[in-house]
Amino acid sequence: MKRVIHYFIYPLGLIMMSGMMQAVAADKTVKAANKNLTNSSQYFWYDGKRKKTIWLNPSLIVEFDPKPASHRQSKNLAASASPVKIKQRGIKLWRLKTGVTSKSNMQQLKQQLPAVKISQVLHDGPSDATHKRALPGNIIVHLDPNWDQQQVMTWLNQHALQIEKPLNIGPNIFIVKTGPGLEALEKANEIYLTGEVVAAYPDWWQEVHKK
Amino acid sequence: MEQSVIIFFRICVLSLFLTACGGGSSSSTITTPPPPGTPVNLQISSHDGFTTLHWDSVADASSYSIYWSTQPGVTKTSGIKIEHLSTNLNHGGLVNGQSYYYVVAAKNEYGESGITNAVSGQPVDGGGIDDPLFADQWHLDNTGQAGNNGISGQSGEDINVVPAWSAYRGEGIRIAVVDDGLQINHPDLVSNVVNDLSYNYLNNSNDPSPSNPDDAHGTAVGGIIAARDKNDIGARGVAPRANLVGYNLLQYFTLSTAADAMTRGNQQVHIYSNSWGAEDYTGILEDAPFTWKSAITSGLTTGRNGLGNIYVFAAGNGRGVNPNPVVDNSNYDGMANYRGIIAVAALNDKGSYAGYSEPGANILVSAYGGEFCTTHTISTTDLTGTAGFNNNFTTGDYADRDYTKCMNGTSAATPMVSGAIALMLQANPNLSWRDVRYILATTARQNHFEPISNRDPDWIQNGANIWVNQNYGFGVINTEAAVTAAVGWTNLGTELSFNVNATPSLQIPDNNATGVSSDIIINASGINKIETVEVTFSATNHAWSCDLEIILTSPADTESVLAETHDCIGNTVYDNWVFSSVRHLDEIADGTWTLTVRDGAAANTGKFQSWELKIYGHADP
Repeated sequence: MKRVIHYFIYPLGLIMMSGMMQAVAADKTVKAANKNLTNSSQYFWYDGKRKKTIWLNPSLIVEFDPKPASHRQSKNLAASASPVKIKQRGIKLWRLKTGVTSKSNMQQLKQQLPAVKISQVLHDGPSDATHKRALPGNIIVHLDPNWDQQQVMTWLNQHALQIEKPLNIGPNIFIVKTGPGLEALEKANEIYLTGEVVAAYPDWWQEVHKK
Repeated sequence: MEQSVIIFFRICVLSLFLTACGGGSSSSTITTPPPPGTPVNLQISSHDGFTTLHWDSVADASSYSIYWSTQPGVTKTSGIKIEHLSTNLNHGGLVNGQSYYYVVAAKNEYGESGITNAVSGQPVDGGGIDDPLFADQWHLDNTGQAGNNGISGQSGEDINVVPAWSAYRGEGIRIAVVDDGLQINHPDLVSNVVNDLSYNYLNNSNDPSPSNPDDAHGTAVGGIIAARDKNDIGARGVAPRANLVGYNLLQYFTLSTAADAMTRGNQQVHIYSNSWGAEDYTGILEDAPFTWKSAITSGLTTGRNGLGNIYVFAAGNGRGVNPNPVVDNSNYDGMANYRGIIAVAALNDKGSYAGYSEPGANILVSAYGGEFCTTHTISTTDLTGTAGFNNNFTTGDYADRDYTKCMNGTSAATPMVSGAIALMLQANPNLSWRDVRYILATTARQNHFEPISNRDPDWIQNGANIWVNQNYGFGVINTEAAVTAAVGWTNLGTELSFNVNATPSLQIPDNNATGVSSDIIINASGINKIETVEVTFSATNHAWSCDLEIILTSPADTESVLAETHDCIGNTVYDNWVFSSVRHLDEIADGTWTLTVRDGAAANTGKFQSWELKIYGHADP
């Protein structure tokens, strides 16, 4: 059905924070405000063996481990972007006042703000209403579970990779160090496409919702 | 005292194919400041289920660590460590009558001090008899209490837990509240919180208490599970003597933190209670990440010494409001829909589904979420003072702002099931994750069932004569019956699985009620008691997944509606999407299974390309 849905306020925090608010039927035009990302840059990643397409949101960036507002570089960031409300405290979401998050101007932004860890925002669908994700740095690599420690170390050395820490959800699954942003996505895809690993993908930050 | 440390440097070069270390070495003497001094004046007091410790601060200390043991002579080596502390600690989750021994050390970037002299304490029952808000907790004992709208609930519409408390209150069972935090010093939770297993993903400490007054969700969930009973304050949990562990995953959710939270402490933690998931009311498919699935599989196979951790998830709040058609279905949420997850729907105080509670073939059972605060919702713990849901701006809530009567959603129903499972595991610690599911399903009460004239029309009997409903799963949990069944339960036989693929490649007629169908025949599977069915479905060239209705029909003619034609916010496609269904419980796997696909809306078209049927179950004993 092509009808867009009607947003309304419903259970959990929202309704509780507003106390006695009752569910209300909604503004049917809300979804019209959603931005179509069909013409945005598309990227892909491998969630296990499944290739997934994602769309860049050119006007949003995420700051990880956000610094206090008094921090000089955070002030610089605030001058060029406005905060977007988000529930997770481990990040800050910013809407850029001008410009877009092309690769070159992200590079510029990183050079201007070396102490601030930032990433582009990508969506799971070609609309900014769909699930958001971003790249805090590091990738998760699943190596052959039958490899011994020597084989693991040899493979890491061959690819000049360093383990951040193991992920205890199975044998030979590691968090491997990379920088934040698209660098992590590109490195994960490069590793996966060697065919030498079971899986390799960025350690995505994701949106998640209380019920 | 300053310490002199001689550090030898060796220059090592890592390259693609060579690790070379210089043979020579150089030395340098670096003087580092000392660690802080040892704290003094360590004091202890004992309470119901917890001890309180405090000590004097030390110059240059950045934090403090406690080492504790149930044996005298505790040291850094023999004690269990709780770190990143200030100068006090409420140490909860303790057994009354047991002695606990403590020492403290101070810490800074240069190291940790020596330890204090040990102190010991022995928690004691506080002698309380009551929980004043219990009278409002209709989900525990529905006597027809009225909500904020003055309308009485339906007497008897509750999880039937009161009779179970005479023997089981959750002692020894640990439940992780995976949420936005857990206020571990809340006066009604502190006795039950296990500090050293809790974790804060923002600062890597053992204290997941939220720092923001809006982050009250996890504390409300925690109270529904295990608010302490008989302490003369506040509310009561379903398992009021179980231990709570807090993980504030929702403050920083990455693939690795999510995987960590699903497996952290999985030999000590029995149950992971998750009142979160995909965004509601979007209608789109939201897959679970591969990492998360790997973590769940790991927990199911290795957790609890191989018996498997129990994962309980909210089914979702995205049902449409009349006259709009249903939008979300729990089957579109890759987490709630994942095999092994106990997906929980929410009911109101009359025993009907709450207006927001999603249907789904994956829903195992229901509990209570109420509707909205204006009508009747759930009483539980809230962040203390004016923080949280019950703040200065709410009306109609308790005068005691440490509690709220406005918790709702499948978020509220989920911890009720987690609490009930705690009682089951106390009654029989050898239940596997599969046994827990089976017992919950087969002891559930069919709600919205009597009188027949008012029965929810979706109730059907499956091929094994078990009642099941897309809105409720097998019904509302019956805690007393589940605990009774758990005692002396013989675990299910070895899990079997059987899968078959088909590639029908059928064009789906657009906007057509007939649709197309494909059959898969299962032979000699050996499964004559089905537990779960998975359907992996692809129609990748149909650009609008929301148009499609997908129905699985078993050899016994039981239908599982896996997807309905519905509104949605965007175009997702079915690309090996895995649906799960619990509706075929105890049916026989062998025979002809049919998957019917209909396109119920005009415009987009495409093909029913392929499907795989995978059946999990066991042989009849």
